[in-house]
Order: sequence, then structure tokens, then C-alpha cells
Amino acid sequence: MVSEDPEVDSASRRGLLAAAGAGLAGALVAGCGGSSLKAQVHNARPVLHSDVDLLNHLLDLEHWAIAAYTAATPLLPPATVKAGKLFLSDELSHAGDLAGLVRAAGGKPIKPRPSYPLGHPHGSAEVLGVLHTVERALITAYLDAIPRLRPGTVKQQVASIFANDAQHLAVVRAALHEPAVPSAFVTGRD
Amino acid sequence: MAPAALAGTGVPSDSEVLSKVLEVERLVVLGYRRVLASGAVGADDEAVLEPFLAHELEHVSTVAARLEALGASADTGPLDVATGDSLLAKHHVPGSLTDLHSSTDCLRLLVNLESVAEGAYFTGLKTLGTSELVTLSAQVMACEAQHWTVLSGLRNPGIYVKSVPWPFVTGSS
Repeated sequence: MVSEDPEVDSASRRGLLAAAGAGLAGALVAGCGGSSLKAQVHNARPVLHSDVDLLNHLLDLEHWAIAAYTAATPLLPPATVKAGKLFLSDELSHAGDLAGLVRAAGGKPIKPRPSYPLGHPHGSAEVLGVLHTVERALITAYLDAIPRLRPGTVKQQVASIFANDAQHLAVVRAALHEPAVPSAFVTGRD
Repeated sequence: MAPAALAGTGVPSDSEVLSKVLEVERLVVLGYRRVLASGAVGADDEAVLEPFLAHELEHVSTVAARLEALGASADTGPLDVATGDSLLAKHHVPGSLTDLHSSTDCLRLLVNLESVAEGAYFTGLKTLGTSELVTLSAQVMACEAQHWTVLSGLRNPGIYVKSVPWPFVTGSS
């Protein structure tokens, strides 16, 4: 079902989740009713143990993104600070979801590193540039991982994260006064 | 994945998945064309929408080529409005392709169509049998999600919670 006013409904869903304290890994609900995607994954075939390293690599990159948004958001131009906070929240959700997949595969989720190489950006454009670099790296890694993951429900779950990071990238690019959607295919190279 | 290998399993073949995706992409193309022809959106918004229509046409030709490579037929011709409206109903999209009188009508239709496109690729990812098709579907699904974000941003400037409302993109059925 498609909403009459999709953004309003979606924004309300985000608010409801926050209000309900439903966070991180449990936050995924399919957009059209029915059981949550996470439940579908758990009710379907198990996540393969052989995918633990791949999922932990993605989780490591999400930890990097969390560090980047945490450091960068206070330095963003005022008009984009709310986006930075929102995207940090998204990355935390992604990390929680990936950690859940690692556990479902019988693995141990990788922990955040003590620090991450974020450089020493000067000015809002360079700060946005760091976020651009991080989001592109995430997209490249997800595109490499998605076809290798099994079963199909895990591909879907990880692709749903990938597409959200692509949305972040579009907003970051727009803030950098670059075309938000430069190509018909998201590759991470733009 | 050969259709014969899936007979009786209830799992759609790659051709069946791509045929559904192609139908949705042709509907999205029609939606952009109707919006751009309506005169209801301003010049600034038109300048945003025109490249998105070009992306959708690329999606149509790419998906059609993959379908033909699988030995299936792939109609890439433009849909007529009556067929488009029936597809809107099939996908539970409110409104009509002939009911585009304001920028709000137009952008709402396009946001809803992008949701349907996201959902078509998302559904396909569950069963597609080759890495190439999985990667392609993920790349296009993410492009549709970016369109969704920009279109929503045109409706709600600066309100990021509406442009990126959700940490996971699944689209609609």
C-alpha cells in the first residue's frame, strides 16, 4: 500500500519508534504491513556463519560512520545540523541491525575502534567532504557484499541499509552543491 | 536461474521478477512524463525532474536488455494513460495520471511511484539468482531511494526527517 502522504506517515513512524523505545536492531518494520523484515529473516533460513566476516566488515564501516557523524555534526552548517543528527541516528540503527545479523550467524559483533581516521577538516565544506568520503566507502562496501550474502532475505535487509546510505549521500552531495543524484545507478564512485 | 528449475516452488524466476520491475519502471516513466507535461511544476522543479526521467529511461533499457538476455520478451514502449491508471490502482497509489493540477499533486504522485519502484527491486532481491542481477537491482533501488529523497525535499525543504524518514528503505508493494 502506498500512502496518500508518504513523508508524513514515514516521519510519524520514526517518531513512534523513538517514542516506543524501539531502537537499533529492532527498528525495521516493512513499509506495507505484515511482519517486520527482521522477523522475516529470523523466521526464514538462518544467516550463514560463513557471512560473519563480511557482515562484521560492514559493521566496522558503520562504526566509522558513527564516529564521523558524531564528530562532524557540531561543525556542519546550521541548515544541515539536523540532517547530521538524523543520519547519525540512522547509522546507529544500521550498526544495531548488522550486529544482530552477526549474532544470528553465530558470530561476535566487532566493536568500535578507539579512534578512526577522520583527518583535520577545516570549514564546513571539508567537514561535508569527510562525510561524503565515508558514505561513498559504505556504499562501495555494501555493493560488494550484497550479492555475496545468503539467503535472499539477508540480501534484502542489507540492501535496505545500503539504499538509506545512498539517501544520505544524496543529501551530503546537495549540501556540497553537487548534483544529488548524478547517475541512474548508485556505485559509490560519484 | 532457469524458470524450469523453479516450477512448482512458488519462487518467481528471474525473468518473472524482471518483468514486474520493467512494468513498474515503465509506469514511473509515464508518471514523470505526465508531470512534466502538466505545466503544474515550476521551472526549478522541472530542472530537477528531467534528469530523473532520464535515469528512469536508463533503468527501462537496462532491465529490458537483461530480460532479453534471459530469452524473455521485453516491451519498452510507452504505456498509455489508461493502462498507467490501472497500474496505479494495482499498486494502491492514490490519484490519477490525469489529475495533476498542482505541484503538490505532481510531487506526491512521483514520491509514491518511487516508493513502488523501490519495493519492486526490494522484493526481487529476495529471489534473484545471479550476482549481476542482484547488484543491478540494489544499484537501481538505491537510485530510486535518492530520487525519493530529493522529491520529498522539494515538497518539504529543509525538513530532513521527511526526506530521509527511515533508516531502512523497503519501498511499497
